[in-house]
Amino acid sequence: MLKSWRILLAVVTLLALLVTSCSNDADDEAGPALVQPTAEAMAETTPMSDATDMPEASSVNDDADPTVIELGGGATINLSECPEEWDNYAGVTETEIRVGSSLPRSGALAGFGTVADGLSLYFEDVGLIDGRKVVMISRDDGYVPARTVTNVEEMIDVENLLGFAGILGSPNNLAVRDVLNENCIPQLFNLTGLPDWGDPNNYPWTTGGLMSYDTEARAWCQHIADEIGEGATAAVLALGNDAGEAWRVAFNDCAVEHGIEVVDEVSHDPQAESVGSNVITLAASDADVFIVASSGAFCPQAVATAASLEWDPLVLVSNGCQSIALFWSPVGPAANGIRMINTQKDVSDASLVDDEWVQFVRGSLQDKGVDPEAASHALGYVFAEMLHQVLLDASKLDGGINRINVMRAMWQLDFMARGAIGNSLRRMNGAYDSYLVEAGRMEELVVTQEGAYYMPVSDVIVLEGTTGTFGG
Amino acid sequence: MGLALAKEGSRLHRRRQVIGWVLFALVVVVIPFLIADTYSATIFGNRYTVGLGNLSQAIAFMVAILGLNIATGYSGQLSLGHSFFVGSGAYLTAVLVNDFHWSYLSTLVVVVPGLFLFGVLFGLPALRIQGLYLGLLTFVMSTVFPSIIRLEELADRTGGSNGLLIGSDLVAPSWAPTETVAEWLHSIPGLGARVPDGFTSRQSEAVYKYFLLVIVAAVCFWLVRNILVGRVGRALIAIRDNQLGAVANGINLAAYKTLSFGLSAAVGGVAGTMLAMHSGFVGPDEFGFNLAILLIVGSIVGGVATLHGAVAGGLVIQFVPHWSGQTQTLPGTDIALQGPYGGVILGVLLIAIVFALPSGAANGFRQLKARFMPVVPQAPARSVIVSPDA
Repeated sequence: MLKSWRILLAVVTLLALLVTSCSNDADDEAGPALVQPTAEAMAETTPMSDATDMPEASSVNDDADPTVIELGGGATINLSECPEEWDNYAGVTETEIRVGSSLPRSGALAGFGTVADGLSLYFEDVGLIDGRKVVMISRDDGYVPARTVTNVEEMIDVENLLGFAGILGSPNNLAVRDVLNENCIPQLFNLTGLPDWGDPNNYPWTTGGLMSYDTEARAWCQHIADEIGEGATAAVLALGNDAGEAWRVAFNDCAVEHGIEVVDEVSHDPQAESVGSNVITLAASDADVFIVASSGAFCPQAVATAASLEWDPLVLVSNGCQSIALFWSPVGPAANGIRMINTQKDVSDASLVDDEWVQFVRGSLQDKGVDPEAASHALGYVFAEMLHQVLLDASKLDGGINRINVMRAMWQLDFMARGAIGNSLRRMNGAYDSYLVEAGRMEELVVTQEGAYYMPVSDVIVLEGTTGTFGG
Repeated sequence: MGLALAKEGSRLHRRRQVIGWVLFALVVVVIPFLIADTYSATIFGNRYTVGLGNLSQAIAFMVAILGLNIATGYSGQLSLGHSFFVGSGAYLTAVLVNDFHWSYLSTLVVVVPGLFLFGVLFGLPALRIQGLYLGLLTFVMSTVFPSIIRLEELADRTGGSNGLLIGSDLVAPSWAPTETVAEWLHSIPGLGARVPDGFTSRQSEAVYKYFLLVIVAAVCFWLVRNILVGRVGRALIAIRDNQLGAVANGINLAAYKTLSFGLSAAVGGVAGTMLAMHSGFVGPDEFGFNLAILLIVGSIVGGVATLHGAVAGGLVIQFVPHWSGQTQTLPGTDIALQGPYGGVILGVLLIAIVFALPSGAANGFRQLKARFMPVVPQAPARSVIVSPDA
């Protein structure tokens, strides 16, 4: 008897669970219960300003929905989709502008986690912005997307943040993109080259920070066509993660357009000890070009192995492996002649010792007891410079620094970045030009007794405004 | 010191058990309301947080460790590939929700039998090999899982290296009494101050997910407990303790070994579904070798071959790395614990537990409880005391 009751209870519980979960579909169709914030409600949640500081509605049409805010370049945000408790001035206190991030500080990609430290150290040097100090708060996610989600959700609750900047990794940024856009929280300078970040029509609160993998692969194709011409053969070593796959797929696409034949390609395990055996396999193809679409220690491993073989291809390496101090000094002369599309200055480049930006970064790092050639710290400075400009631009808009103005400033960013190669332009224009980093230069590594440096082998390739928006 | 001696099965013992379970249920029900708005405390200058997201993920890990315990703890088959089953469950759920518009929980109809069958198939080689060799075989499974997910042929469905965002939110139904319970808790002096006046839509969703995960976990624990206290459980333990003895007693070695892998994989699959429900995203590297090792660590730290151990293990493997990452500096030193220290602490815990509490944290707690609430065990009902003179 008791047993039958237990079975009955189990069946009822199972059915109840199924019914409960099925009810979600109906809810989904109806959409989440969102409350359109009234002017009064917004004024109450904007402690830094009075009602006159309210964001302006679309200036295109006075009859337009007042909750639809024009960001420029055809991009808009709809405040009626923000949660009721949303605060435009969250993270902006009398003394601080608080920005969060989530990066790997443990695991295989822990080396990149110090980008957040670089971001933080930069703002220690530049002083106050609009009378406030920029405070960077970062957490370790070990490159695990589920941990990025919990980090971001907890930080929204307890850290009082204006937004997030420099979250690393495509899966990690994808995992939190919805939660940040649904809660109308800026997600700036994603540290991944996935083209998806240039999509203001669907995700106006999200922007990228790196050159798109697609753009980089296309630049490789163009360079091969210029240097070798149609009929060139290529062998590809791709990292078996989001970045490597994106490079590999994009390169295969543009190779067809430029008449390049991909004769062999290998994806390697991101946790592999070595890629030496993969390179030996690729060398058997005797291809004209060796593409190293990888990152971290795999780049010097691959280049050193290739140099030790009877194979003399044109070697193109992804720009994640730019740092001479970190990647190429240990390889020595074997790295001589490798090429890559560089978008920012390398603080360990011997030819840039007199560069104003490089001197600033090295001096700043040295003052704080950090190795002046620390590549990830220096990369943090590059993104901090852009974030700095965004905050400065936002502070000049009506209402000062707030979430809406930060997104306006971000989608309309237009300045000469000191950290960029050739001090090139960093410009966006909403849905018409949704990518920030669209300029780079093909450079060749020259290794001498006195030091190593990158020698330009092309002008700065400026694709500014030509890569459009995601999917268009 | 402590409470009065109680005889196992006596009214006093049963009353204490009921009180214990009621208190446990109360904690389970109340806690999400207290931490829906993430709780934070500053200790020695470091800010630590306890949020519902982490707790929900810990619950999913509890179920994963429960599954691992069936194969490794109860039947003694070393499995370093449990992340394969967890990942398969997560991806099956993600694909069914995204591409076939199933609800999360209804995917269990496919996940449970599918993973059970897979586990049984996987258990076949385990009939011929054991120990380190079996460990090596299962190790391969956990390492190849991310590569399988990245296969070009599957990438359209799985999202490849970028992972897969699951396009369905778990929105609390209108009849969910979240606000009513919150209001009731809000009126309790002391406790009420921690409960927010009203929940944001994100917090409501987190509370709803938490309760769904708790219910799924409770059903899993209940079913596994029922299986393990019966004939199957006794057979698995007999195989673990002495294979020859088990065979001599008429236990079908092949059937029970494959069954243990089947059950283990099915429960692991459910844990995968729970992880997908929790984060709404699945990525290939989440279910690699690191997770397999983490689950083994959780199983040992919590206590192998115990149900309570899975609960303790889930909490440990979720919160130790989380809190160590939040320790900016070790008290009294300049040592930052951010970085790989979470893994180091887990390793040290593992060694400490093996030495100090070889049966795991859950059994340590049980021993402590026995000291304050002593229980006289009852002799098995059918046991016959044989007199030496007989």
